[in-house]
Amino acid sequence: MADEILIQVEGVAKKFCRSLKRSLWYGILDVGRELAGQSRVDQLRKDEFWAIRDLTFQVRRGEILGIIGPNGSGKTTLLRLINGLLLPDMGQVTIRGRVGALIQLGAGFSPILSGRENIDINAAVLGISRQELAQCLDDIVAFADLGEFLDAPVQSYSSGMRARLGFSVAIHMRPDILLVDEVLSVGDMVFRNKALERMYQLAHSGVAVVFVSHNLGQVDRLCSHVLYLRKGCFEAYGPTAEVITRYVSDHLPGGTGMMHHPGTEASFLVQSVTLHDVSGAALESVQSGQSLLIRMTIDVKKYLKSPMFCFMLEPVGRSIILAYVHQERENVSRPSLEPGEHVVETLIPKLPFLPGRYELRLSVAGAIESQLLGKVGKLITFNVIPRPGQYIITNDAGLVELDAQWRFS
Amino acid sequence: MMRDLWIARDLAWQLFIREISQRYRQSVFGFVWVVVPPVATALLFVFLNSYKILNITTTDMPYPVYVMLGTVLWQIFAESVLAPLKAFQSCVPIMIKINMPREAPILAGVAQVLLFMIIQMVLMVCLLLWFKVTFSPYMLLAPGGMLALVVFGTTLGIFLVPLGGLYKDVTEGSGMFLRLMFFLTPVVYPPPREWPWSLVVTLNPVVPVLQGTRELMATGVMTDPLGFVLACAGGVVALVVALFFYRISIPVVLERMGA
Repeated sequence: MADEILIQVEGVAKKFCRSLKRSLWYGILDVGRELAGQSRVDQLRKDEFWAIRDLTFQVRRGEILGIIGPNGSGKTTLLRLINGLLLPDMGQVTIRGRVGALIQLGAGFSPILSGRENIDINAAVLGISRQELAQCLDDIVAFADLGEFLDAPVQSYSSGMRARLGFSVAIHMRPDILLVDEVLSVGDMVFRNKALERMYQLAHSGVAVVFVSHNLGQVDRLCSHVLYLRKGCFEAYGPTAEVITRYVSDHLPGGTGMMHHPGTEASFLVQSVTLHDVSGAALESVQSGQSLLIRMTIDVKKYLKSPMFCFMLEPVGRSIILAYVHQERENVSRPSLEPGEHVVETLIPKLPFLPGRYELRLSVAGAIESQLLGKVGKLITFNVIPRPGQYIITNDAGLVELDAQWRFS
Repeated sequence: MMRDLWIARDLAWQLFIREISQRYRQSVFGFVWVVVPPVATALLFVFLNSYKILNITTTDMPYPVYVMLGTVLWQIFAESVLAPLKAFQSCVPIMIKINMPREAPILAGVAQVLLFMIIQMVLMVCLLLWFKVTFSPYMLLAPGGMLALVVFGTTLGIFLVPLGGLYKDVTEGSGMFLRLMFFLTPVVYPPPREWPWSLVVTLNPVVPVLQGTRELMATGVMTDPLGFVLACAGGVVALVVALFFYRISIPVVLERMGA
């Protein structure tokens, strides 16, 4: 039961047409073919292109699959294929159980009817019988949390309020499969967290969830597996952290090189950054919990009076700064630098990061009112690897380990 | 297919309620708008006839009754032709986002026509009382005739949906087609008997039904019962064919509409 496959996608392909006029005409032809009992045309006709190509994967009960990819990579098309709104031109989609789709929240809300009346209609559209609705109406109202707006016409709602109402109805229809397409983006933070939490609960209770989002943070928090689409094809498919890292490194601006922010060159240029262990030996990757020496060579362009250096460490793909390493904290002297080449060395005695890929950035502030002298992005990207015997929780691993003392009594 | 229609009924009912409450929430006169157009049309023809602008004398019931009943019945037919496409179009935004029974909008459209029909029936009963038409038990069969008109109209309407979903021309064209048909069907004039004008009667399957129902209502006696029954039977068969056609073509059409 737990391993039951709820969504099975096999060799699915779907094509679209770029010209509306031609698309309509192909529609007529396709209706003719359907009526004559012929199969679909599997060749591209004029102006057509493959929106989805050769996709095969499955989603089991209790799994949350994230789908990421740039705009136009076929994410929504894939959801519509799973939902049965589109029929594949090739291959097969097999679905077991009731599908709840949040492809667009509030589809079918009538603007001049009240929220309450719209709940009735939306429920019927989603296939909730009236007895079922009577049972869960209070829950729907409570989750949407619209207060006295519930009896106001929907046209007076904000987009976030509409999203709440739609989401609330959809999750209460007890689906086996929940398809969610970038719908939480309009809700406020409180609601977004509530919705993510609820999706997690649903998955835990055995619902298969497919979640499309551009918010990698949300995908990271929610999904066990991620499918990365590009031009309708698989680019990557696997455990969340791996795929997100891949996606981000594909889309980081400027490839792999360092990025000096505008204006920085006037003060200094970073020439090289290398990583070493405490003894000075060069490192390819750093072991979790070990010491790390950052050695940076900079070419100072003009006299820098007591500059303050600050490194920022960022896990790739998670758009947060995980750690600052700056001089102020260490209360060290801030030597002034004459024009010319200098080497700056920073030692981190114990790097508490868990295994993963990290990126180093730099900012340098001046003596007077900490005026910004320059910023450099992507100084270096490096891997933190597990030390022998390190205990690793594979999913939802967190990012750092803290030293702690334990006492039992 | 019957099972799907059954599943769709709950949703169809909600859609029906939605359409009705939407239509009348923003209106002051509400249901008056259902009654006004046929009455106005009928009055116009009565006026034209009484001033001899038109010259129609050969109806077998008082001309005002003839015209009023005719226009009301025509209106029922015309509404049922337009209803499926209208109902379908109002549901397209939902249908391209949510997988729901595709028959539901059609059922909701028919429900609207039936409501419309009931209101018209009240109007017609008032009319018959006003003109002191003598009651005959056969008049009670008249709603059956009206249903037959709904079947005819809906069938035609369902055939229009797939094409109408793709091309706006159908919406434009069907309005004009119905206006032409109004004059090509003996609604405000008695059926012509001499060739070639009688073709209007023989080629048009709506005529025996409309004519028969009108006669049932006004006099209780039908002059062409065989034609009426044949046309009705044909209508039901055509309706089944139309539903199959709809079922097969609609997924393809929805894809092209942005699903």
